[in-house]
Amino acid sequence: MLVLLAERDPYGAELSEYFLRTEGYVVELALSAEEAERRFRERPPALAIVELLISGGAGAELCTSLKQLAPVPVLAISSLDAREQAFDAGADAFLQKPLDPLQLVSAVKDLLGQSVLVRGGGP
Amino acid sequence: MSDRLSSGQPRLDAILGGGLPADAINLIVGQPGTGKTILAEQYLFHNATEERPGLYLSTVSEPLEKLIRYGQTLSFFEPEAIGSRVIYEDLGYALAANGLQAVVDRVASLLRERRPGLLVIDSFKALEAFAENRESYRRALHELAGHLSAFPANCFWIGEYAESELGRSPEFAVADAILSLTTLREGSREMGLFQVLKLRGSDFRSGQHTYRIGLDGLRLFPRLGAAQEPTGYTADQARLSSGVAALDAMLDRGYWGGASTLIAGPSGGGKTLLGLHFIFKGAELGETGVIATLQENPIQLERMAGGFGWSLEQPNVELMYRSPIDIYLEEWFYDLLELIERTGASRVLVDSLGDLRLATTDELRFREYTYTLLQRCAIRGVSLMLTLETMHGGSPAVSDYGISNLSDNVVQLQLHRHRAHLIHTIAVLKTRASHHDPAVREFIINDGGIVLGEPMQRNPDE
Repeated sequence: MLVLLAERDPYGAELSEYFLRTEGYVVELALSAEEAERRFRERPPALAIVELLISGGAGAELCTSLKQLAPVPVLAISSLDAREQAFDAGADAFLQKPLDPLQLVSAVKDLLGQSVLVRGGGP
Repeated sequence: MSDRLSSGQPRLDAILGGGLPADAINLIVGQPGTGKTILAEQYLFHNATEERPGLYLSTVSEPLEKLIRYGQTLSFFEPEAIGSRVIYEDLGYALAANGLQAVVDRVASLLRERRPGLLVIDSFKALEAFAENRESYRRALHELAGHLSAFPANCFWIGEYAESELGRSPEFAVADAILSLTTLREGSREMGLFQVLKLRGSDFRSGQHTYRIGLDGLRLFPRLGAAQEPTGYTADQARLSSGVAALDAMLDRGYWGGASTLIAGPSGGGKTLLGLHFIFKGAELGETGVIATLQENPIQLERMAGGFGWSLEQPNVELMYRSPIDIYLEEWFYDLLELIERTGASRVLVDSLGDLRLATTDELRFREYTYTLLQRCAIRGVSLMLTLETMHGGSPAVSDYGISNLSDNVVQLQLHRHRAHLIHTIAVLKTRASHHDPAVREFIINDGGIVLGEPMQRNPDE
């Protein structure tokens, strides 16, 4: 399952990519908003992770664009507490950095309908 | 998840405004022997979990074997946690063989493999020697900080930096918090000074705070004056008996509750006895009293009290004895304040101020602590009696310690030679917000303690 990771910080990207790969996801990395949108058009992922400060703060705009391109879940991330901004831009979930590996994986699974709770129908 | 990292020591957390900011890079600096490693290990053992372990990475200054061997003597060091909650690893070999990049790569790899909640690098300063030049050191530092910032881990970099190096090395710019440990020598005494030099995005208690290293790690004694003392409180309207009926009459029915009283006088003048009257009168009335003595040891004091029909074993009497040659000012004050809090004491005798003053060469610190003790007792409605030894005869010299002006009441005891006898006298020099009898009275000491006589008609020294 393909995950597009749009992240400005190479160290953060390296860690997120590692944790997602260990869970069996295929990760495509984009270090700018422009590159992310291009890759999204070329090969639509199952889920996109967008750092809101990418390309000097173009992450919110990127979230909105991606949601218009295809009905793909978007997980917004940021070092800022930008939850409202993320949801206003159309993101489906938000996590504040630094990312806890378990929280990252759980959020991705939830958004993809892969968590035990979601698959079982939940209470 | 809390946004603060606790040290497990409330006083240290209080200095840091509630704890270190979570997931920060913290630099602990200080000369060898100041307790840097112990402080980092305190954080490690207090916070590490099996899910988010603590990693202790040693470089080339302290052999890992020694670190673990001596660590076992500390009470918080749990041998059973090693290998599960707390993981020690030696980076010295990789550093020596492959240089600084090997450390950066190993840390990046450990973040992925171990997912630590805490990560200590000891010594961080030693790393610079393995960089080819200053530029490559800065690059490696930037890369390391990048890896650590991308992961939610609390990092501690430890270094033997001298004060002159502070600010020159790039790690000081990278660090979110800088904690400094130094040692102060006062005569034969040695004490640690803890100071927060930088704390990003958080308020903290400025200035130097003393600490001592014990088996339970660093014990902090934050500057008492650094904490905000409430100024508004209701003054106690009750009068407390001094334990000497005639003195109560001189004081217009006794002391105000919550007041501080300085008893000044020469050696043998009856200061301790007057203090015991005050404490045991309270005990008789069901009020808990604390005797904080640096003068008589418990056996001597019990014998003295027994001579007047009292006992230190009786209910409502708490004794805090410290040898005057081995006390640390801050520790003593904290111990006393904690004892007052724990026992709910309403009367306290400090015997004597002179012994306390000798515990430090820093007069300003002594005044700051004494003032804070007076304030805290007043706020809590605790009546405080302090003894102070003055010279025989001559001027009262009660202002020498700057305490008489802070005390609500000042009572002076004197010894006068009259023919072949010594005469005890007592005079109330000052009572705040109260009337007092200005007479000088002779008193005698018998089996019941102090017994006041009539006002003296002439100066006994004439």
